[in-house]
Amino acid sequence: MGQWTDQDLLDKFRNSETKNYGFNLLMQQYKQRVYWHVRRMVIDHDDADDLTQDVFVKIWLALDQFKEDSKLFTWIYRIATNECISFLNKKRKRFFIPIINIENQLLHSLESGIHYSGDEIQLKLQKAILTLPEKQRLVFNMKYFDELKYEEIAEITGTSVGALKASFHLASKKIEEYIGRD
Amino acid sequence: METNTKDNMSTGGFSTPPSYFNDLETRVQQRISVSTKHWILRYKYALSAAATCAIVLSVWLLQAETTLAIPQMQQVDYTAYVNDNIEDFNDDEVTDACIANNSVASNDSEYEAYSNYLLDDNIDENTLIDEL
Repeated sequence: MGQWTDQDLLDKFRNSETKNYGFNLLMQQYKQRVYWHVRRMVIDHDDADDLTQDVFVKIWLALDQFKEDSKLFTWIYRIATNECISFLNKKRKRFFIPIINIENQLLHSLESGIHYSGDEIQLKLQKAILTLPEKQRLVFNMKYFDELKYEEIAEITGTSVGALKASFHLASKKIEEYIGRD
Repeated sequence: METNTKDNMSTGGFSTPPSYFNDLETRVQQRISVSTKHWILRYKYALSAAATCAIVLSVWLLQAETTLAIPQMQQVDYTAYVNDNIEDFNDDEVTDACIANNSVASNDSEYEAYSNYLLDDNIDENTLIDEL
């Protein structure tokens, strides 16, 4: 399946006759990136599935208002990122969980091994990532796994490139320390 | 388990149930139609209330306009009619009509004072018509 340009997708979506087709193409193009981005943040598959669907519903509702002042995928990532942060914040509030414990809960989901097929090293890496503060975790995932440029991450998170570089550097150091402990 | 087209490294070791991505579009489309229905339901009551208010307000405005417009029209018609046909009325009829008209709006004491004024000061018809 070939890649569609942002303009192709938007043109199809904005035409009432090809709106559904255009949206299906958009989903085909971005569903995996959105899912894995969300999954790495919320760990649990069911939560990630739910949030991924929410993200695409929001995209459907808001795509008409997309101003094209950024790339479509950074706009989509921004929606997905906001959904993840809102979800984790809600989870904290709902269960009165102090900030430190939500990561423990995510760690528990990870260790349960449901829909996890990584080897021992990957599991250790994920555990190390879970020790990071939420923002660092977000930046590290986008840089390390999605291989996004700092400029793109800056657009998604609304943070300066300098701050992102510092954040990634700090996160990498902490992960190295965690992995080097044993 | 499947990790799809992305390699295992880029998924961070996470996996999904078999064929998870195959029907994701369908499930999203279903959710979109449900969420659209919810949106309509959510605003249904507000829209009904707004429509009811608009109807009540329209009826009230229509009634108010009719009530206010009719006396004005009658007053204008009456004055225009009298002005146009002044030759057809004799002085007694005009005087009687004016007294009768004023007596509707006036209270009893005003009417009495008016009658006394006409009788006591011996007002002739021409003066009265001029004054009216």
